[in-house]
Amino acid sequence: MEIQAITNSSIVHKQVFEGHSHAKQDREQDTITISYPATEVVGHGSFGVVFTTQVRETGDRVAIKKVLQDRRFKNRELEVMKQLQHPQVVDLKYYFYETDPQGEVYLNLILEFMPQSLYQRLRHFVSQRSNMPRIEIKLYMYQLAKCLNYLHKHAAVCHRDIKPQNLLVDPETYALKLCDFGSAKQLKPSEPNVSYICSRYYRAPELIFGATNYTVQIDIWSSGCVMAELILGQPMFPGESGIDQLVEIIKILGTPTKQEICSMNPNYMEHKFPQIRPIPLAKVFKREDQETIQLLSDVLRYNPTERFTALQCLCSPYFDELRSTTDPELASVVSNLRLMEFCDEYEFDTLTPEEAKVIKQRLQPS
Amino acid sequence: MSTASVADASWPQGSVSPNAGDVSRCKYVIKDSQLGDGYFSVVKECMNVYTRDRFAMKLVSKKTVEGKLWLIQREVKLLKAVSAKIRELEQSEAACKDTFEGHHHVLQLFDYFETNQNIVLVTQLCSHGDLYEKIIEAGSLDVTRQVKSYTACLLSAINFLHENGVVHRDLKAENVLFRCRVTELSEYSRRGSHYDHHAHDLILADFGLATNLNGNEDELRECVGTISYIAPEVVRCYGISRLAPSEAKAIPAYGAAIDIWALGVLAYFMMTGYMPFDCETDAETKKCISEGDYYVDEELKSDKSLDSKHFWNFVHLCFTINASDRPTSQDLKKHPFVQQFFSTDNQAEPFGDRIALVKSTSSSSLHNLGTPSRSSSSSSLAALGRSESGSNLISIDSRDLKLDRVRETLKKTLSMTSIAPARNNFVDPATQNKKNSTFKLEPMPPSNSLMNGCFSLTPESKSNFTTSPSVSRTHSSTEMGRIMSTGESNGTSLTRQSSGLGNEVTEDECSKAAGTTQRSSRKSGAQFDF
Repeated sequence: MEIQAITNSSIVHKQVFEGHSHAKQDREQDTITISYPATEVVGHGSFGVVFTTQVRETGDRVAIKKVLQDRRFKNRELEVMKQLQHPQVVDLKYYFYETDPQGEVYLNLILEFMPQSLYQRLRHFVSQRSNMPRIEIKLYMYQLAKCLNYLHKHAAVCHRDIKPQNLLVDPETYALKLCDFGSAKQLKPSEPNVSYICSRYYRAPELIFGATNYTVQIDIWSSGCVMAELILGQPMFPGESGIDQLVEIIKILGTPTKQEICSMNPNYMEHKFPQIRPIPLAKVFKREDQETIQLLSDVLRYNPTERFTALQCLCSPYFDELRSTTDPELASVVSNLRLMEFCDEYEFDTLTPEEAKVIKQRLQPS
Repeated sequence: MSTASVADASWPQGSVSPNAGDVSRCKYVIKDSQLGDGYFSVVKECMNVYTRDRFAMKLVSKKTVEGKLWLIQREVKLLKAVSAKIRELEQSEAACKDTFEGHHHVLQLFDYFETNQNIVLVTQLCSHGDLYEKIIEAGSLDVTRQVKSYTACLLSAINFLHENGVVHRDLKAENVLFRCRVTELSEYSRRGSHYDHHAHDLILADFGLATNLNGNEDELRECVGTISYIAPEVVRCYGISRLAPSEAKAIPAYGAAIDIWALGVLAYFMMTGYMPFDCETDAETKKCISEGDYYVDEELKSDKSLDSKHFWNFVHLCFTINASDRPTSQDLKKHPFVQQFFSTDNQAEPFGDRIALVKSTSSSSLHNLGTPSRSSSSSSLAALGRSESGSNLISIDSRDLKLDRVRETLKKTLSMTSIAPARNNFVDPATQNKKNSTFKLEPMPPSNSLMNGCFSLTPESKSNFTTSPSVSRTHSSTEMGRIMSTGESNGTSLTRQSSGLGNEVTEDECSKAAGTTQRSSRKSGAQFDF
């Protein structure tokens, strides 16, 4: 894929579509014109390039992600992003198509700008030989859980590539937003899904076992891996191959039981695996408190149905510190990020009124 | 090729007349091209035909070492002992939280045997050049990313040798090789780029001058080594061979500290691209060494960065004239220049628990500083497993064995589609080039694929029932003589140069790999007491 580097700083004017159209569905909405100074590419990936700039009309800093558009397919990322609106999801502001001289069509996603990824943030601490402060980890994990609850329940979308590189953060405000929905998909129980998604280290065991009937719970496993990595400063289950990763998992969680293997992929039930005793997570995370250990062990479960859901995570005592803090500084961070605010319409909409009431009591301190 | 070449009296002879029952077949094929050569030897790449593992093969010509055979015997003996220790450590998976595990960074001997013409050592393959080339090509190395980590790695290797009673005596850039990576390990790939990960590929090689610290004291008065690197106490031994034995005894024997001096020289060389004590003449160089008078580039030294300050302090300590005042390898692990790579506390801790670096240089506060723990979850987890099972070594072993079996089972059961690598959406260029790092020791080949010191007349140049037919189908039941005789395998260009010193080896003979092994080990005692 050839992408011309934009080197001059001239102002670009573009006809764009709004990311979240208020027009009726199925009708291509009208375009508006925005302008921004052309800047240099700041990131490359297999998907294409990213550059950041500022939209003159609104003053918003944005990241423009330019991906080659395969004309044969609808771009799933665009479709998913158009329907997602949540404080913890990077917002799709506009999008437009452009054609290069070779006739290749590129989709440009104009996204909300975030200063860095969680990966970069963690590297910062690792290079300083220090740990990420526990409270910062907690703030990020809370927002990730909040985001996944919205994503899984309201939008029924599975992100399928949760990893520190795809979590964007602002270390000033501790805001966290999920990005890169290139692998995201609405999972339907009746349809098989490919198991070769999700990046190494963060792949749920059922994916490594080749399951095609997995659920949104694979995102929860990945989140647990992210949390563990933030604490440890390095990936919890490293390994170049799926086998290596699985061995790393077994080293800590022990050999999965027959039921657990069945829950991941019934095809492997008849295989006999030597018994490895689990190592209690309290020994792996010696310096973490009981609440932290408990959440990790609820999230890093072989059985996807036993694994906590995003909502269960949110209710975990681990996050009580955010709900009942007396520290004015933390309280202001929490309130600025509106962490205790939930929207009935898109965060509790799959709950019965009774359930919603109980959950709200748990999540929203009086 | 003639039998006369093996008539060296000091070389223990087996039955010289090759007899099918006594002669073990050579289990290696070699490449024609040379990896390197030394005074008495050539080094070639070889492949074990049973396991298809690649190794380096050092062929020491018996003819040229005539009379100096004990040197080779000493080297083999030491390498054997060191390799045994390496494997012992590897199996015990002792909790090592250091970034570099010393025993991973000394050249491993995998196999050894003799033929009519050669003594043959089979070692790790290190064909990625040496540190000397690297320094010369780069001019000098980067203090933060390279000098520090390379020094730390070599310090760990030296520390391993010293702890096992071995002094290397020829530590120098030329003897530090970059290994070939057999396994790709990912643990480090995510850990940021604060140091050059090639540090993990360093291998301290050439044990030709190495000796035991607790052996013959006279050996610790030999004036050996490379002049730029020798310590003052070695300089004092200069000309000792011309002294009367009583006079010689008056010179104090040196010890492990000479390697520390050489490490200082090597660190200095990496930093500056030149040698600290080298003068126009050897005599002047020796004088400078004796006086600890090394060159200091004021401009370089005026760099007030922490790393630079620590570097100068580090080499200054290595260049302590009085060997007994010079810090030991154990002491230096706590030095701020390299301390970040070593864990100095003995208490086993999970890999996540790190203590922030305190910007103090007092050793007491440094003592407890953690390290960027070697993310070998394997070693730290083994430690955890141990504490859980009441420091019972056997249970550790069985745990590892079980894990190996889990791995095997998974390999067999997981279909290739399900373990296909995840589609990586974004390859971070910073992590990309580190993916090749390896931190795993090469596994010992199974013993039935080894020669184990036996006397070999028949070069293995054909396949038998234990290898895949692709190795070679050359009919060679009458072929023998030169070890260099090779077959083709797997499309690699291992050339064949057989020479006929007719010897009968039956097909039946070579099919019994296991039987051969037994014979081999029996023969190793009879042939050559390594």
